[in-house]
Amino acid sequence: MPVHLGRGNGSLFNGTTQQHDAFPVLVNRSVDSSANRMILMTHQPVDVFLMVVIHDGHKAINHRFFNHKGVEMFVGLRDLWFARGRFALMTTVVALVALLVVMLSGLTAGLAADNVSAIEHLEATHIVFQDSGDGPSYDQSRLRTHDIEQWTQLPGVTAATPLGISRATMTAGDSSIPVVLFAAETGTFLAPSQLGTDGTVVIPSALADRHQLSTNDRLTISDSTFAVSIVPSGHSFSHSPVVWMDLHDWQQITGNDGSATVFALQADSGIDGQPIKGSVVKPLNDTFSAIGSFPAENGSLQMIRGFLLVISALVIGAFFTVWTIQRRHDVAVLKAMGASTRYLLADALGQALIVLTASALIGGITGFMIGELVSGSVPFVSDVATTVYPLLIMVAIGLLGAALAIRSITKVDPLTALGGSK
Amino acid sequence: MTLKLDNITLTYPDGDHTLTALDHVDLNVERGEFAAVVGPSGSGKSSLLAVAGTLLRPQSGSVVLGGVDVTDLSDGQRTLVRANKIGFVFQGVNLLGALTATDQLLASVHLSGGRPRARRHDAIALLTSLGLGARLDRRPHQLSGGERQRVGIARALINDPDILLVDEPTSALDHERGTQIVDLLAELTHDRGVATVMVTHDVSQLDRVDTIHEMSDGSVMIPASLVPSGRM
Repeated sequence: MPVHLGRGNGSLFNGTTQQHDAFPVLVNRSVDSSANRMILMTHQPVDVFLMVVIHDGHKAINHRFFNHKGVEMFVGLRDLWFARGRFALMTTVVALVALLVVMLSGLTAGLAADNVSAIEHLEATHIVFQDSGDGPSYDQSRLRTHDIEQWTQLPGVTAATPLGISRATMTAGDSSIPVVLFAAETGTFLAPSQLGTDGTVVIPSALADRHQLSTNDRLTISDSTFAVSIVPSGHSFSHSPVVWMDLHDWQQITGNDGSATVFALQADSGIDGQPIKGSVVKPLNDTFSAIGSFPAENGSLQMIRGFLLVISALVIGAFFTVWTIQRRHDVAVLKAMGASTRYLLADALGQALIVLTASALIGGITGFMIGELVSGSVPFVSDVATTVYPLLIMVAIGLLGAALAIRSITKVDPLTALGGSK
Repeated sequence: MTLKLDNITLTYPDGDHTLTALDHVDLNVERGEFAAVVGPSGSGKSSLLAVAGTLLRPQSGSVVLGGVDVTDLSDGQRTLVRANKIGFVFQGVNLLGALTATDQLLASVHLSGGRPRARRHDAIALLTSLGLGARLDRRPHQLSGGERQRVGIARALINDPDILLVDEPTSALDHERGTQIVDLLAELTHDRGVATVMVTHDVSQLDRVDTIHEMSDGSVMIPASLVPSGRM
């Protein structure tokens, strides 16, 4: 391709003050001899402009232009301000979605914690269930305690102990309190240090406060009387508070003589599946679904949260679809004036990012504050996992929706700017 | 030669046939020359402007702008050429609705890779020189037709282009305002040394142009009867 580099003093390779119509002042140059390429960097009146000349050693045979542009949004920001009413409405809608996402995430985490926190905080790595053929279940599993020896001797297992779990009603004075009994052999790695073989039950302080119970008070479970020992923190299982007792006491009051619900193991990560016939072992964190209500409850909430994220993407996508259609003529004019498709896409995506970020901040902060207010009365967790992460996902999915909506910008023909009126 | 169209042929598919919009067209416009292209609808005026403005790629021939052959440049390179070497004045102006008069010019600066903040004074000075000093912060819907056209001209000139391409600048104006705009274009063309091509169907606005190129069926001819006296 013939290339004319305009008026110049000297040749391209030995001149130092080349001038060109389009590039008034040469400020720097470098030569990449291996690629026969010379890079001339010139200043436009106010801007750096880069021109790469492909050279065959005697004459220029090709050239490329690059201009170095910042990421500043110019038209996009002014568009946003000009149509601030529309953008504010959109921001409000997405902020409400963000608020719902945060509230639902906090509630999902709160309910999940209310369901599984007692299991989650066991000092165990794995749980052994009876293999009933229907999958592991804390409600249905029954294991003979003397089988624990087989697990203790299994390679990779450092400690094993039986754990009894059952529902019960605890009577203290005139109060009947539904609880879940967790029973471990006193002195094992599972048992709270306050647990003894002298007819003691360990209850969380929140439960004790609610029913005016003090240390050494007496309470009744299944016609047996126990002394109260209080621990500052407590956990719950399937939305009921957990009360710890000695395994032998539990076997007596529940009639599970010589058996437990599951075995708790401390083992390396290699152990899984059915190493011993008639039982199945699972890593601790994989056993939440073995709590009866957990899969249905958690699945429903996660599905609603997923729908909310999709809705936010659809709302943003729909808005930017209409917005892009309305701007088609402006886009054509900008393209004719020299706007690259990348510039226009970045401008539109920048608008979407501003809307999404503002919405996420408004919805996130409001959701966090509401969560803090209600966390005492409803199971609600406000932390990074329930606020920042879901909102980041919402922003990412919203940007994806916007990207799909504005892709029609690539198809706008700058020719339509000619010959028409606005 | 600042603008040189050499033996340009441009065809469009038209059903089973091919429509020839430009048929071996030559056009040369020097720096500081104000050229008009006239002709009836469908004669190829807009196609000529689109080829000169790198919006359309001809099937044959070459387009040289400011000494650089742009015929075979990639789309990205042509976009950069438009942003830096060409100023467009569109029919009906086509200002961007969200931007003030000053920002219309600064948007053009930004597209060319410049920093709008650094050029703000230049934009204000240019608008003021065109009689728009009191309209700097007005948006298009707050301006009259003539004011919009002048903002459009200022926007096209803010980056000091080599070529100014003007599409039917008087079509939305009455004769008096149209004459004012054409006078302004002639003045700016000569003062700034830009090569201006104005496409128009209004032959009553040709007193100030330097050369007239009449188009008919995709070909360019220069009719002596329309050439302003003393300019050819």
